[in-house]
Amino acid sequence: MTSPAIKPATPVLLSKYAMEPTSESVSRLAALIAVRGGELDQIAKLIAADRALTERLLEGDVPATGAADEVERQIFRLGVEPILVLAMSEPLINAVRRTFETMAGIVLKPVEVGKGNESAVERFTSSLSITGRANGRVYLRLGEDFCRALAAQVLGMEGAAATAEDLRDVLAEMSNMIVGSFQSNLCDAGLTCKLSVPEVVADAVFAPPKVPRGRHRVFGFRHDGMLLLVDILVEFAG
Amino acid sequence: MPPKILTVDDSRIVRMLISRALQGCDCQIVEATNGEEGLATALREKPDLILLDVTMPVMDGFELLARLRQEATLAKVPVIMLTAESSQESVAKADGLGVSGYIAKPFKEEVLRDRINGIIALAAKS
Repeated sequence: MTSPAIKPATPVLLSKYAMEPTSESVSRLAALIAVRGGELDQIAKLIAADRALTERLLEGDVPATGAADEVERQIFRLGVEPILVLAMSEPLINAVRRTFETMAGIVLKPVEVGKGNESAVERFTSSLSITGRANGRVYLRLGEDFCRALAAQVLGMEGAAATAEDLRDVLAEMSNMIVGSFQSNLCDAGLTCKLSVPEVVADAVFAPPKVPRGRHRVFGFRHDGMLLLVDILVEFAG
Repeated sequence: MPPKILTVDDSRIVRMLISRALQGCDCQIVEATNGEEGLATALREKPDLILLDVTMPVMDGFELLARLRQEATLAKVPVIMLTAESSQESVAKADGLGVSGYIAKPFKEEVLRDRINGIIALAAKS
């Protein structure tokens, strides 16, 4: 799929620097952004072409036939913006999994997020904001055991040897890589935006800020019984 | 003399990972934590290769890159961007400023090592 938001000359440059081509999920997001003010059936067709996105939108209840009609009804019920946040989630989830695997050799398994899960991980919260055509914030939340395992893998040391500064700095840099990659995807999809520096806090009770027209979603990942929660809070400009 | 590599990145973790990736390579590593410090260090140390982040306090990587290109003694020093900012616009901007390589974070240490070795070998030939 191609999108008018992506410059046609760029694949040549990406190839010159041995960089990955634009992913399907980013192309789909670009296409959705391009038609966001258009007819619902156009948007529904784009979503229905993506099985994973359709499943998330319909919460797993995808009919064997007529999925586009069901998607269109759901868009009518929810509005377009929650759909865009869903479509943005795919590049974010990919960035989280790719960063953990590349930098730490940790393979994350996506899990359903329930109330029991969330109360278990409040030790460290890292966050970065994005500002521009898409405004919002991404949070990473994990317990000390996971943060220590992560630092040990990234730094190549025993988890117990990692200092408090190591834990914070590794989490900050992992967050920077994840959200930097996500922000680059948003820019490529036509949602030009800038990134803040990461902030890491310990022992704070997580509460996403109340933002007018803000849309919040949370995704869970598990590794060796330890949980990582990733929140995305987005407010669309005009 | 072993080649001198200047790393400009505000992250202590990334600087540490780069040093680890280059362990065993016959090279000398010097470090700076922002663009302004990077420019001063480059002028003083005359590196053979610069690894450059984009988003940094004081002076960002693109501004430093533009400044390096204006310095007679540093204009032709190969620069590899090593950054999480991997949008097509950023890649195009770096290309316009004549970078020798662009590596998106997250990165594999062996990819970084191979690119550095390749560029140093090429520079030595010319």
